[in-house]
Amino acid sequence: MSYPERLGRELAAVGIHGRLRGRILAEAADHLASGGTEERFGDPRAIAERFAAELAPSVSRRGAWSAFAALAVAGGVYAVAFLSVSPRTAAPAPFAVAVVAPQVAFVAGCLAVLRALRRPADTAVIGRRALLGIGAGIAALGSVASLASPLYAVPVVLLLAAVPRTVAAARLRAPAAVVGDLRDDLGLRIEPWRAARWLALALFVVVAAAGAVQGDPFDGLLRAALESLACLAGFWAFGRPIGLRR
Amino acid sequence: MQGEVLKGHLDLLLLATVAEEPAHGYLVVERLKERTGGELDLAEGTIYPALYRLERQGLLESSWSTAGGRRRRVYRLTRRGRDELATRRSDWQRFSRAMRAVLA
Repeated sequence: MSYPERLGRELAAVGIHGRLRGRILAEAADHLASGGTEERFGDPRAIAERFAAELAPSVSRRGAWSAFAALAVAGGVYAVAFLSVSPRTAAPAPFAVAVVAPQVAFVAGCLAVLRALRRPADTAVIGRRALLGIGAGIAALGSVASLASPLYAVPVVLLLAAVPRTVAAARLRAPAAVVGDLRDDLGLRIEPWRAARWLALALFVVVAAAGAVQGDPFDGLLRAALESLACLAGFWAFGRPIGLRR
Repeated sequence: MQGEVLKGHLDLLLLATVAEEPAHGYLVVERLKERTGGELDLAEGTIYPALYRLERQGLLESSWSTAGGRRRRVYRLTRRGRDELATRRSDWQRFSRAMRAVLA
């Protein structure tokens, strides 16, 4: 196998594909043709890993912020659309998705940005969080559009446009990257499941209090219980893949 | 000079080398060798990831050109890169003066 082929294979192994890989290979080929030697150029695996390490911060930040920006626009449109949905007449399944999915999208998008700011080398987990946010955002817009108007699905285009950058982050395997857990995001020493239980309890209190203030404490308690359970279920279901728990 | 020692200064060396005149990767390596009398021992391939990072940081820009039928990527300093180079150069000179004062 020739040197450029070995370098190409190692670049693919660390998640560098497409135009970027083509450019790196073209520059390596030009370097060798100009008088450089394979020995002086370096071990292909070490070079590929160096590329992954050097590119990781910018790739993960781009992925996280492009997903977050698209989700912010989608969130605004969703909020307007949801105002025109009546819980009494809406079909139960799309309504349930329209309630749960935006919360998942919001949390996943925020967590992607948080990890990108704190540990930008953790490309894979940042990319997975951003992709989960985008997927949940598309589900939220799709369900609310089916309940209100198809026009509300238009921002899906923005979410889809953010996919290539988030996929690039999810695929890049930087040598220093870890999946980690909530402690890596918050810098706190609290055990992740304990943090999830506290968060669920806080949600319960806030939603129940909101129900009481709105004059319907029984409905408030019911919604509070559902929100808390959804929080814990989400932590259980998504916690490991998106690096919230080990 | 060992790679580990070089690592912390590679960005400054690359910016200073490209500041002279736009250059492709191989020429950057050649200039570094020539100006240091071969004292810098670095795997030549490792300058490319650093060049890419500097480009993403907006300190360098690059474009394709053709020479001898081969496509090559030529790097040049941006305005931001020029400012950054001036800052880093001045930091290095202060550090270097301090080191010399202690070691002399």
